[in-house]
Amino acid sequence: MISPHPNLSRQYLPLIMSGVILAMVLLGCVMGIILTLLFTGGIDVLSLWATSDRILATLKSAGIQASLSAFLSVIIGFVGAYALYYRPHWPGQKLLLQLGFIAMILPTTVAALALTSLWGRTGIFRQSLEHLFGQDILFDAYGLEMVILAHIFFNAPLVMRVALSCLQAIPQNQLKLASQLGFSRMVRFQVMEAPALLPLIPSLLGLIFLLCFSSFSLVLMLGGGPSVTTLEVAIYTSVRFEFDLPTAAILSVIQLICSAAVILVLSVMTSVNWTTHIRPTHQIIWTDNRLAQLLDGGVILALWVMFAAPVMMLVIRSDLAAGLGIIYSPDFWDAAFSSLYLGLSASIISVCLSLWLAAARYRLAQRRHISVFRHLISLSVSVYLVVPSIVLGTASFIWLRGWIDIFSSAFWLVLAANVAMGLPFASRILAGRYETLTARTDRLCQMLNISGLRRLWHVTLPGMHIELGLALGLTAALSFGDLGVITLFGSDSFRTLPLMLYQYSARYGAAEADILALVMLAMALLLYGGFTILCRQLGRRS
Amino acid sequence: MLEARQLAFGGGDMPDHLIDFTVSPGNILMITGPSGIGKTSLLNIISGFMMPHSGGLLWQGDDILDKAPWQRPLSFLFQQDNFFDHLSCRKNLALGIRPSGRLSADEQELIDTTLTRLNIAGLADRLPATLSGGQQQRMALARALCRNDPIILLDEPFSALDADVRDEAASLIRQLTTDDSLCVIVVSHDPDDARRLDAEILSLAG
Repeated sequence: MISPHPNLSRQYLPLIMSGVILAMVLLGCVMGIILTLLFTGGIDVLSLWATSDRILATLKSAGIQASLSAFLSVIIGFVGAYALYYRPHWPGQKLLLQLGFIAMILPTTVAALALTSLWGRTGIFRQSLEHLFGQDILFDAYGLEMVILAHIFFNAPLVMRVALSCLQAIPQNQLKLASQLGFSRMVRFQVMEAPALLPLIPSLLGLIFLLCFSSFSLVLMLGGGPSVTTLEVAIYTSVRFEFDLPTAAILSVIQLICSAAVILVLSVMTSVNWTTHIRPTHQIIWTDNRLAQLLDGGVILALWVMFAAPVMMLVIRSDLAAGLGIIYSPDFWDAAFSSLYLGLSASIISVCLSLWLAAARYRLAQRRHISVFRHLISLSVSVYLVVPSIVLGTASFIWLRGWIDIFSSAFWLVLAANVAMGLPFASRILAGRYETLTARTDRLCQMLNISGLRRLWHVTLPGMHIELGLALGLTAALSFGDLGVITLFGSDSFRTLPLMLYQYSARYGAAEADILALVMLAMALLLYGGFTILCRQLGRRS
Repeated sequence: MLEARQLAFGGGDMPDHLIDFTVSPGNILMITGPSGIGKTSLLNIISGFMMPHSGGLLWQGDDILDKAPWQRPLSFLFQQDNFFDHLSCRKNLALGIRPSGRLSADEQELIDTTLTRLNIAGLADRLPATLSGGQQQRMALARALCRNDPIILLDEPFSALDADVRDEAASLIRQLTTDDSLCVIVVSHDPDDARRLDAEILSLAG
């Protein structure tokens, strides 16, 4: 075999070495977290025994809730996708599909408030039904049903997008054949559509189960008490209210084990692409009838009520006169700037780290004999999928307590947690495109001596502008709207908008909370839209 | 003059080769042989992407084997991916002249005169993907000429072209080689190309 020119191999040594060091730091943090948790409480059998009832109750509650949420989200998502698939030309379809994407950037606190504006104690649905029947016939305003409803609100639209793109991937010739053979919709379903959808079920169920099992803010805001809980909420209660750090540590270890188990199972199965592309129009060619139209219409109307109505209701019911006062309080502006600053810096840092690691990983992949380091880099990113931010926060709380003043360093801790949270997302979006772009332009760049920052500026960044916009926008909106670690480290001197919204919705009247929610919704959309449009424009200009 | 002395390469799925050749300015050498024999590998060695087992590669008497691709006086027209797809043709050419992309007025003018010379003056501001196969090849040749490199390597330059533009492309390459006194090495599996290009043949065999 002839080998690459040695000058080319030497060129990337600094990049590779710095990337490996970065990966080791990231992995070292996770090791530190695990060791801290184990030494604080996890290996003490007695305390484990003492808290076993509570742990079992928490696991049971989270397990039931997550199973129901996952099951219902998948069913509703599939039914929705099926109806949309047969009605591609009805008005409003595109908008309904985009709601699925908005669910990815909508802050959970805003969604929780929006859902209570519909189904809560003073919600319009509940009150109309009460008016009709003379008594409250709905489920409790806070509790299991509300949590499940919220999880469906977030996950069903995503299922719908994935399922629809699978249905649209059925080849045109099969559709023509089906109509030549005069298949009814039932037969079409059995022969073509069900086989397309079935392989999705295990990975979708697994993924949504994991998300709901480790859900925090929705359960905190809508669970309505200790009977509906998750490990994360239990950890938060232990740290913040009971100051029982050993229990928090045990719960964290169990949470880590559960997440790792689910991720391991998921990685064996086919992976689902959440950011999947949906083709705007397609021909499905079949003989329509009135009954089918009616059924599809009913399903699509139900989807609108379920996904669009809560946010619309929030806008309609918000009482500007009563709530707008909050805009004049300095607390609001402090929180708004903190959140914005967090969102912007967390997204930029996680995107830079993702690119750095992707580059080092790519150069390592070219040297087949040191694949250990390549796996090390992959692991250093994906491990943060397993570590929920509350666990990260709890561990750093225990770890750093003796060294620094936790509450005065709150900003940096929350920023670190948000970066860690955004890292797997950003890597998922960026790594693939980075690799194809670099592979295609490598020889050309080497021949023309375009390397280092010049290459980044002229080739890599403009060539990835769409992915960069998506990664920056998503991670910025996520960090901006996250109610996670901030609940552990937040104080009067450092608050974010999600924390403020949570406190207002729990303590004060709804008017201020509504205004906060609307401001947050607008800012999250602005962050996402701003980054995606900005990157697109910059890409076009080059 | 470009000269290869006892250039040894091969191994893996490829047979072992020991190659000698010389190309003097104004001449074209065509490397031919069945697929998988090592034609493109030889171009990769000449251009500096790969290292031979032993031997020498001399340009004007100096051995250039130790030099990296960007230090060698040559332009390589790949079979595909010859452009940064997201950048306009003009920007692609500018990056070819200077890696910073910032050009003087003279260099800007050089681009315009070269494009006019190759009959593609109107295409400068288009994206590479919007050009036809023949236009892309002219654009890549334009970059090579702007770089003022005395050696040009072409990997299967006619394989992506329709039959009716092949002769035209071949006579353009022939003419540029003579006019600019270039040393040109072409890889092709089609024996007819040697006649089209009026080239010497180096045949690789197993």
